Amino acid sequence: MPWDGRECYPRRTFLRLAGYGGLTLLGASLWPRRGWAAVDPAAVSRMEIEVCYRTEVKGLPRDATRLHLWMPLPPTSPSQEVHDLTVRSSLPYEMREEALFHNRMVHVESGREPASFTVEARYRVVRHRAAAEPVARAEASAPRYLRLGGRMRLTPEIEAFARHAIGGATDPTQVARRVYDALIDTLTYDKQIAGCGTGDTAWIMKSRRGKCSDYHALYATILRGRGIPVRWEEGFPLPYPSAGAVAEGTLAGDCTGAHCWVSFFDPARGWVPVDVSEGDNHPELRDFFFGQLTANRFQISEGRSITLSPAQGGEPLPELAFAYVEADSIPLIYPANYENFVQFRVVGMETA
Amino acid sequence: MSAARTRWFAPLLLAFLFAGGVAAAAEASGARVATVGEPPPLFALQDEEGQVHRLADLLGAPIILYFTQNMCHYCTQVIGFLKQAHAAYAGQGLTILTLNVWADSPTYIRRYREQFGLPFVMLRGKERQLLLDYEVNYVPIIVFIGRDRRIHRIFDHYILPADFDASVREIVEDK
Repeated sequence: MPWDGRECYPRRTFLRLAGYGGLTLLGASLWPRRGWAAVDPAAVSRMEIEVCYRTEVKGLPRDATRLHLWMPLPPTSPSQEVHDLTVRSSLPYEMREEALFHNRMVHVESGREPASFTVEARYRVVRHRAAAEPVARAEASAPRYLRLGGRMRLTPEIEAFARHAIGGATDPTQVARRVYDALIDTLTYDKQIAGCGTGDTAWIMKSRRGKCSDYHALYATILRGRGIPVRWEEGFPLPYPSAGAVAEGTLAGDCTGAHCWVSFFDPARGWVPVDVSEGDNHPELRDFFFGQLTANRFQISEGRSITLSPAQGGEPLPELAFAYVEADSIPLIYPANYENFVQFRVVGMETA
Repeated sequence: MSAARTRWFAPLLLAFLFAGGVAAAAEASGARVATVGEPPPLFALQDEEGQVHRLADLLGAPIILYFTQNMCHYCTQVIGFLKQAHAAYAGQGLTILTLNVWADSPTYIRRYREQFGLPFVMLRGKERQLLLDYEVNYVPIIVFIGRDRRIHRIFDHYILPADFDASVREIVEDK
């Protein structure tokens, strides 16, 4: 569909909303407009979210000749449905799917002109409170769920930590719970971190702090090291309905604005979702986040060390949450050359 | 110095899985990692012209090492601090080395320097030993090295302007 040049939400609307005063929560800039009554987040069974995901390329290196842009699109899964997807681009685009994790994406290829353009995807996500999800053992045992990729390394220090945490447990759920508790008791969620991490497990174990990607990189490494398959899920955090009565906003479009969680495989239960960092950040939900996920999120991709489609020239991406742009196989510089804006509006919520 | 790191011991690090690498090899610096109060791990890395910059040759002057990569939004704010420090203290011998930990080609470096008009060197930092020696997980990382050839401060991924200014003054003015 040709793009009509309109912004996701007209700027005058944002100015009006900004006039209400901004908040910051979990990296989201929020403009309170429609309030929610205080709700137990664990009681929310369904959230419906309108999303406008926009990438603006605003300048290329002077010697750039060939540009590629990849924008991830959210998957449909037992925990979420995606409706009414529309893509708008001032340049031709194609829908692609990479081969390993089957992540979907919009791909745009261009010469050096135009030097600036916009790609925008709009969709509506119905997100359910996630719980264990049946899956065949053969599917969950695929190598991608068991390998230690990127900086996920089992060092002697991590091995010692795991042995102490797991003790004599052998049941996958019991092992997973013991590691979950040990990490929450050991790591500190570091809100000071403003930069971009790699999920280097040796660094995490030594420094004993980090953000969601650190918690889950270490969690996945320990479980996979015990032969328990782990699925990595990347997405976006939305405000807690009881936290600030906020129903819409814009998430930071750089590496700091995303969230991640994992599912481990128990043959008796299937994929069991776990959010270790949120379990640490919300002690009142510690038991909940082992086996369930609140609905105030949506998934955008699966896996780590991702090779896009068509393959990018640079390294595999540690995670895929934000649009990625290269010129002649060299990543453009964020935000100097391009910017992402992930706008959301919660339009429905049910409790049960 | 709330965000400063203190290094206690050398970790048992296995192989990084970063593929590829730059043409210039990092100089072996022993088993230790960057530690406040200790001499910095040494390296020799290329700039976009292929010129090799050896940290060992620069020691004795105040030095800032700045680790970054292309998708780090916050890093671009620190560039402003670095430019101010360069303008104020280059005449007093301050040397700034920026290291792009993703960069593996001259074009990669040149584009970054041109984008921000960097008046100081950027090196091809996609080098396994360098990442091990400086324990690069998050970027930015900013390392302040004094005239005494020792690391005075290390900040990882967040620095307040006041802390940056104090750290620069410390390494420049400490004779």
